[in-house]
Amino acid sequence: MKILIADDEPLARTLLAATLRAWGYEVQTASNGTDAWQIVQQAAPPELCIFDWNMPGLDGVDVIRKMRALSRDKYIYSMILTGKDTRDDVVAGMDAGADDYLIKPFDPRELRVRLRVAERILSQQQQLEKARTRELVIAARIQQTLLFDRPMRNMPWADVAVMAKPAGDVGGDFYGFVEHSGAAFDLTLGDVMGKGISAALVSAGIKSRLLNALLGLIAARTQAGRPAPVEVVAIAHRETTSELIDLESLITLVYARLDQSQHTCTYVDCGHMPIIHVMPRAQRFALLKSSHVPLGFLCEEVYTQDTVPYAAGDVFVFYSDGLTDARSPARVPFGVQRLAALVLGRAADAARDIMAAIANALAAHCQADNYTDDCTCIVIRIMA
Amino acid sequence: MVDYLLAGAGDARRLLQHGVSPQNLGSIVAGVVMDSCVYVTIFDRAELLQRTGEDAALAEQLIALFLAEAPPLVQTLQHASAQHAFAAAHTAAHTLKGMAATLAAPALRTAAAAAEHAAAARLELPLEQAGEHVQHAWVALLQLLTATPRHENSDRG
Repeated sequence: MKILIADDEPLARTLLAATLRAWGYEVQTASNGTDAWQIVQQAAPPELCIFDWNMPGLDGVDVIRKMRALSRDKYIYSMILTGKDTRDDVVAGMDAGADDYLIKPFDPRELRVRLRVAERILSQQQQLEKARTRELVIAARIQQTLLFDRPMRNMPWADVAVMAKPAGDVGGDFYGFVEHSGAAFDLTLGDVMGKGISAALVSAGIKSRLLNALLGLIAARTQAGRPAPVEVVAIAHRETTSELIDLESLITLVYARLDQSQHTCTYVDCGHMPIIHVMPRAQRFALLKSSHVPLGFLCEEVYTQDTVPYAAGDVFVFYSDGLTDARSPARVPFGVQRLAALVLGRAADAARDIMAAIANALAAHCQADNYTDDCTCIVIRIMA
Repeated sequence: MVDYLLAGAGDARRLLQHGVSPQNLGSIVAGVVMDSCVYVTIFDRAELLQRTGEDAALAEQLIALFLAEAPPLVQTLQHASAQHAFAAAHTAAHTLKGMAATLAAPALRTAAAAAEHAAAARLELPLEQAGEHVQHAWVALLQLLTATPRHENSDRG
């Protein structure tokens, strides 16, 4: 275990360091609080810190307060070792965030048992962290398999590419495809408020509700034809919005159907980002958007659908706001217009090449490959 | 165990001159340190060795470090006490108190704590008196630590 000792008093520092080294600990020392604070912020900080209270610059309690305010995954156990020995001192030191408090000069036997307590707590903390990491890895795998469908392979008229970059280990975005008999498929892309396992669970739930709604409508249908997207969304809305309100969760969602027999795109927009419809022949693009609120916002909302025609060579782009809200170092968002203009310029390319151009432009804009929100994007190029 | 009672720092020197080893002076007390005549140990070698896990070399290292670091602090405290420079006196007294505590030198620790307290309370006369006590305790301790080789194991008397 690596221990940091910060004490401006050289005798105490030397004695403590020698004692800890003799007990097998790896020891780092600092002679003031400012240096200690620098060490604590390093990439591989000590697991345990023993701070004197009174030191030049930052004192030990100041450093502990700053440590506790610093958000980091790894917990650093802190002890105060000081000559300040009143009950008020102990209360103030522990109240600042110290895990333990010892009075100088220390008794080696007492220090040793206190260190054992620290090791027990840190060991349990590490076990919890490992368990949490394991769960996140599993959740991320589930998300990749359950929340992100593979595009259909039997639709030669639609060239599809997808990109999903969760901001953390597990994100709140999802998408899905349902292939219909005949030349049509449905597409959903949703963005659950928040990130992490809870958002992924809500994503899985709503995705399942949408599929159940579609299958239920198909099963109940007595006449030929497919249920309209707005019918599917209406059922999912009816069955989930009150639950989402209870969960204090919201989902922006777009449900679209591309129908090659009609050459139309019919969509229901539940407060999601506009669909980009690029028309290279006319050298322009349109932003397809309704004025509906997200799912989980209002039980009384009545969703409607809109239909636009398309032609061969047109490109549709569906995406989450994590993509267009991604910021440059100067805090400039990537933006819908930039995305649409980029796709218009690359509309003759294959969908995967368009997607690669989007990913490269995004990385160049943000000057990074890790984003603060989930970035999900689907590019569909109509081949015929 | 208390072996000797001393009236002043000079007694420590005399005892050492008469062949008492520093080890046996480990429990010597100095009545001169406190006005209240509370007898306080000057230096407790056994305590220091216990703190170092019976590591005599480390104990010697700490004593050497103390002898290098303490003099300017004592000097600062003396000057600050006489001048009623409370902040400077407080800082020096606090550090000296900690060093004396680590070294197992209760007389100096007690005197420095009194100086620290007086400086914090901005009490002029008590600070001056505590400054004098620190000086007495320091001289006594210095004589103990420097008069004879510290690695002696037995009383020559």
